[in-house]
Amino acid sequence: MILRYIILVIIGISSGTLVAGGVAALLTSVGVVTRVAYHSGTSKKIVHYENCIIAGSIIGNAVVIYEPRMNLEALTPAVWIPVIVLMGICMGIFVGCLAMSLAESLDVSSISFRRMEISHYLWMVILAVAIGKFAGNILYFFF
Amino acid sequence: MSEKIKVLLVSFIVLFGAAFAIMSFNEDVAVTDLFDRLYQIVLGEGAESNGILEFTYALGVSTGIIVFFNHFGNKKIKDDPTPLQIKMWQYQQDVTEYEQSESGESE
Repeated sequence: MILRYIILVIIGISSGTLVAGGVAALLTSVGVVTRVAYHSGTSKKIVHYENCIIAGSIIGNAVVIYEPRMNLEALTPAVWIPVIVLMGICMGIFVGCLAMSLAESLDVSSISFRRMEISHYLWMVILAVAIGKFAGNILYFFF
Repeated sequence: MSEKIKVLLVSFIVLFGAAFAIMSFNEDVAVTDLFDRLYQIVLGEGAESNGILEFTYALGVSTGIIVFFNHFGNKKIKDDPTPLQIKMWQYQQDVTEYEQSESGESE
């Protein structure tokens, strides 16, 4: 019987390590954090942002596995509305940057814009993509 | 002062973003259902979850992330630069090369 528990422990630790390596390698190779850090002018604090990735991954994983209940709604709305708004905005910014970074590391934009010979009004295309993503999300969540 | 605000904002973005990435990954692959299945396979039919797999999985994720990024808080584990430092250096190289080629072409 004790052998079964040992097997479970080995399965747990090894699968967790590999999953963490995979997710962290994806975030690193896509380069989303380096882009956000560089364009905000704070590229010297990249070690600090690595700490944030570590903390965020560990907490997020624990939340999905254990599903703790925090019951923030029992407090006044002045407490939980900013928390939810902050979470939503930050997650949205990250997912948007991740999607565009992924598309760019696959050279989608550079190849298609070279084929279509668009170079001056590129900002219109990017704005159209942003509006399209916004409309798509609203349609997905509310209809 | 405004630099501290920028660092704080980007820290929040990276924190919630990384949490969202691993949460959506775990939901996609349905890890909790997989753990139920594993408990049935290893411990026999009708076994309930003991919390062992969940705890060791969370421990493994923490270990993997820290080993991958090569530092824990302020201390480094080995003396190599961290992966994001290398990525940032490469990105700055690319920007510098691009600016040099731009100024070289316009001459």
